[in-house]
Amino acid sequence: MSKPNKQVVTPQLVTDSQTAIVAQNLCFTYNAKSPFSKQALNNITLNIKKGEFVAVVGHTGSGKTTFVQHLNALIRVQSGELRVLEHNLSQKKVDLKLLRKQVGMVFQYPEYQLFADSVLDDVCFGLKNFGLKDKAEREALAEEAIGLVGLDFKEVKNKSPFDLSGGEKRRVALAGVLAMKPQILVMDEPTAGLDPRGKREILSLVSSLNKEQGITVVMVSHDMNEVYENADRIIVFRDGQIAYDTTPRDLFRNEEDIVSMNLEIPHMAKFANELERNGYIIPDNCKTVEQTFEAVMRLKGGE
Amino acid sequence: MLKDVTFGQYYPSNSFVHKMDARIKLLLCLVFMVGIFFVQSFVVFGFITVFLIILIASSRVPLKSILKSIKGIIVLLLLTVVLNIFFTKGDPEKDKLLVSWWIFEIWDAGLYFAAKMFLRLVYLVMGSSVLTLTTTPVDLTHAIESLLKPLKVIRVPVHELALIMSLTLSFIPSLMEETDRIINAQKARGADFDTGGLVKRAKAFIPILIPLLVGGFRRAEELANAMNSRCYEGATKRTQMRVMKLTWRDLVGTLVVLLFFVTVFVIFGMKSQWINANVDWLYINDVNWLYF
Repeated sequence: MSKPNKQVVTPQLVTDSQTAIVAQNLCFTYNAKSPFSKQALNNITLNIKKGEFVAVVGHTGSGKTTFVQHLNALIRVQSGELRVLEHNLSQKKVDLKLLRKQVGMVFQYPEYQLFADSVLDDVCFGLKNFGLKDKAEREALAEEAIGLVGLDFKEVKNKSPFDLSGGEKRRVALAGVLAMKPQILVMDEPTAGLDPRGKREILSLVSSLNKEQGITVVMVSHDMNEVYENADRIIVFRDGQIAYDTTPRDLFRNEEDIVSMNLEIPHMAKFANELERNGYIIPDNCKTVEQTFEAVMRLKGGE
Repeated sequence: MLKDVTFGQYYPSNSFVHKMDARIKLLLCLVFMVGIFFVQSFVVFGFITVFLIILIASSRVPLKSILKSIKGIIVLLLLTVVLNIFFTKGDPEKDKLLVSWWIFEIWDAGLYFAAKMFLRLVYLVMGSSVLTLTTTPVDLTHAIESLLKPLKVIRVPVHELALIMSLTLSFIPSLMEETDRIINAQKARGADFDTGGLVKRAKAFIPILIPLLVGGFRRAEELANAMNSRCYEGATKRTQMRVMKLTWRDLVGTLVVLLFFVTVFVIFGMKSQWINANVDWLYINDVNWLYF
């Protein structure tokens, strides 16, 4: 594909201390130069600030997973520029250990990565790899992370991870990432396959990590309702390109286009769109049922 | 990472050879392999070369991918050539002794024999790789199942064997994908597979192997459940989604290959070839058992 034009690139790539992720003309092709070659990313340009909660959505095969795997150098940059925190991933030499410690990655079905004899060992795996030698310190961090995901540390620490239920396993896997205290949390469909309550709990945990600890969150999801309620900003991938990069409310005003990309319109967005069409305007930040309800009541009271 | 390794060798294209029936291709490949072993003279090898060139051209597979398959047998090739050069004893009345040193003797007959063995092995691999490059593993399994059908009479569980084969094949890509995902997940947690001593590296694979094994059992169990719940019963008159049909291509292909071999063998003295071939077989059985 076309090489990024250096003259255009440089001025926009200036990163300041507020920037978490910058990409410029990022391209990636699987199996390049073979009959199986497939372009997964095509000129991705975006800028994510520290503390943002960004959702990445798109139809299967739109390139979202490929993009997020770039963020901690599991996939190396083929062409274009990518900076994550202080790392320049377009260069060959990257401090992978530090990068992967700072950018915590939670994969799809993370419970399938568990392997250790005990929950404690599994949660400590990352810490050990990143060179934390002191056992007591490791355990303290593990305890904190396990508590954070809503499990009882004393009860589960010596259990085999394979004896836990599906939801608990996922929490343990999440704790294994959170224990490393990442600055950026990248998650690929963290709620897939969970029951509604498990979904809500994981999402409220992520949301509070984002709001209270200022962790930057990049979440890939197929569930438009959860995206709509939680994200500050939604990036829509279509055929390896960014189709939309905007706030949830603005995004779902383009109902036809969204449906044409095989994405759903969240219930609350549909409701708000319908109100707008009939001349009732509610504030853009009304994303949950409760917020919408209050806004509608206020509208009523005002009339 | 693992996605770069294309599973099997299949090279997608729409060529004449690709479109041929897998069963016919398999049978013709066998004919070719057997034929190769009867070839004695370099002239015939010349004809085989022309045949291979035409075959490869009509399969539209790049020569590079075919030559790649030779890489796998390079050690065997070298060993064959070296052993044949040094240990073929010529007939003093007919052959010429070229070099003699300590216990080693190099005869011109040995050189010829080594060259022929080399060509034979290379052509064998090239011929069979045309088959695997133009036929998907799934089609190959179906072809084997279909060709082995007569064995059902003597109660060989052909269908079950084919099922095991195709299940194995279909599991490989998903297991590779899962391996890829687990490797990535552990890497993201700082796992390091590339540095450290042997023990450390071997230990680094535990976090991959255990989840993979657990996942493998899980998948197998899920599949067994899925098959049971659909009342899978094995060989009781199942139909296939892809029915293999013979077309004019198969007729043409078969005729071309058979005509080629028949003509070449008729022209170049079938009778003497047969005798030579017999001697050759004995020779292989007695001395050069390494080939098998």
